[in-house]
Amino acid sequence: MKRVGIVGCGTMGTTHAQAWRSTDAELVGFFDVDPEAGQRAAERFGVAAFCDQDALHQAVDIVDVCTPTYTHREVVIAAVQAGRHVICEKPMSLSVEHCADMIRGARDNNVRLFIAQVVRFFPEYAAAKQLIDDGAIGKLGVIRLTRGGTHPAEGPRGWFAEEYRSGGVVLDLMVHDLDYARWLGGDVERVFCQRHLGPAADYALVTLRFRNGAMGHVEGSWAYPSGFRTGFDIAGDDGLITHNSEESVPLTIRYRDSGQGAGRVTVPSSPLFPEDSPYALELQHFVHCIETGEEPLVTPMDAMAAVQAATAARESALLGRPVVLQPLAI
Amino acid sequence: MSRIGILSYAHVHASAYASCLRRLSNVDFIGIADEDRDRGQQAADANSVPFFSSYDSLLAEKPDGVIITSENIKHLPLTRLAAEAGAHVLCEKPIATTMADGREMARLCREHNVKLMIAFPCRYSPAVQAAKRALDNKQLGRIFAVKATNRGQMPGGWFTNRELAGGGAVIDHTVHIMDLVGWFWRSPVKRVYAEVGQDLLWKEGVDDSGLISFRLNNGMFGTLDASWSRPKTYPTWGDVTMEIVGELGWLQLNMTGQEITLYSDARQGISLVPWGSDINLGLVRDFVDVIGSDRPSPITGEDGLYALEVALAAYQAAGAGAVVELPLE
Repeated sequence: MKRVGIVGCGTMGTTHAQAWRSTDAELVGFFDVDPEAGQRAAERFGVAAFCDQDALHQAVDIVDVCTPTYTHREVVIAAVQAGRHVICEKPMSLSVEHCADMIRGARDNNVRLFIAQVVRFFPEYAAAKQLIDDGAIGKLGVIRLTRGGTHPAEGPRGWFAEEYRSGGVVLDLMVHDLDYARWLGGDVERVFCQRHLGPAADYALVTLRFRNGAMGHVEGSWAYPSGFRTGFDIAGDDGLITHNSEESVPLTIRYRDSGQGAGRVTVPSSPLFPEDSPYALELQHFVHCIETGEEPLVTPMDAMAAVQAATAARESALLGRPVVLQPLAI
Repeated sequence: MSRIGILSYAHVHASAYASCLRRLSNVDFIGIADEDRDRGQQAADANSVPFFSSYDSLLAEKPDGVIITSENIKHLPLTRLAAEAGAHVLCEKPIATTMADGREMARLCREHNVKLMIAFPCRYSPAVQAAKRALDNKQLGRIFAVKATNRGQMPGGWFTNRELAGGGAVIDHTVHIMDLVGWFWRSPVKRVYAEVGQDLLWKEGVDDSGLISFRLNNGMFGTLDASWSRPKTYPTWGDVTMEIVGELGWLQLNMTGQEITLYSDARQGISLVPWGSDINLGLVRDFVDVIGSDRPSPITGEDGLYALEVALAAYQAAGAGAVVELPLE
């Protein structure tokens, strides 16, 4: 059984920790630069808290990097140099150059590197991809993807709101759909982006042109007053597939006002078997690839190409013109 | 009582407008003129009104106003005939296929002292009007962006004939949304970029998909999907939607959202059946009111040109692979 250690105990660290329980790997422990955060996570999941990243490396086969984006290159390269396989949260990094460093680092140290582009493992997104592969809507024409929520709050999640640390909505959030768009439409020829970047709202509209002639529209929002939603509308020359997370809700509970000023609260949910959680499916897939040597559903080059599309979109928004993507090579 | 005729039944909206004319008690629907005898005669019979085999013969009846529902390319010649006959004009969108034609239509109507109104029925949607009130009252604060769609099924017929329509999906489906953008924000369009696709979704030899990005002088930006991307099995013709992101909130408009869903074995399919107010009736009623009063046209030739210019700029931008600055040369 492969042993796993998680670096970074924020939202994604604990989300992954939960998901590891539904895989056939064993979570051994956590490391976080904030020792208290590491200790809290370790206690919650009944595993070790390591005092530094090297100590974690000594105890595991796989390092699961769930730290903020701006630290990915450093944390990943330390792990691969210690000879450990690495699973790294999305976005892969803040720049194509950093991504290339990570890929070279894994190659040079003879270990595997996986980037957790989890949207490919979301059942509704995987189902659409399968239908498209089966020819249900013919040849792809217009791919529309949307994803949005509230602006990252102050406090522990504050780094998300800092453009130079997270890449903002275009990199942090839209990289999901840029990767999914590439999965469907293949390589992107050019990107055009318009964006509002303010203290309380980060909102972008991106158009893509794929090399095969199809086009894409991606909306990323950290500008909604409340809630979170995803959606797609994928048109081919023989059909259409649509999804709207607000309509895919098997359970909604509406609470009366508690009288304590909490207001009326609506809690929608879309539960799955634990092993069908996209995070569990993703992590189990990566473990399987390590054990068998198979290529993953999403390669580090795919993740790098998604970062390239996102950084090109940020550049387009700044320059006010479309940006043509160059072929990637390591 | 206003005497109104229809010039050409080529456009699919003609029958909806004809039905509005029949329903308005202050309208004398004098007839339908069409150069296509079969089409015109059939339409006249269906509406129980006289058929005129030439536009001149209908205009010789001295109507107060005419509705022009020809192919896009014929808007100018028919507007010229109507203006010279002293008839006010309600012209189907887009105003024309070139800026020069559209400007000439506006000039002719001014010269002959008749009103020119462009058929943008979306302005008469109660939901659209409520959205406009919310924006006018600054309920969303400063507006950052709008994401819009006017997607549809492929209309076929002359709509896919570039010579008659002036283009395909982009000229057909850009103007409704851009008219609303112009009406809501009264800000000139500054820049346009577009991805336009031909034979991506259909094999019609004309553009069938378009993603148009635009920026207004007031700093707002937006995108518009003008694609014929609804398949034949789609339960309705298409959509008109806007999502508006502002400082204080977020507005979602789905103009055709008032629908019931029909699952019919008898009709072999699923369809959305609209039950909202008839926006075409709102449009035609207002035209009749405008030509019988001192009110100026509420949707002018300039409004028609505002929307058309974005469609033409989209074609230019897609051809050049570059952002196009407005006004166009």
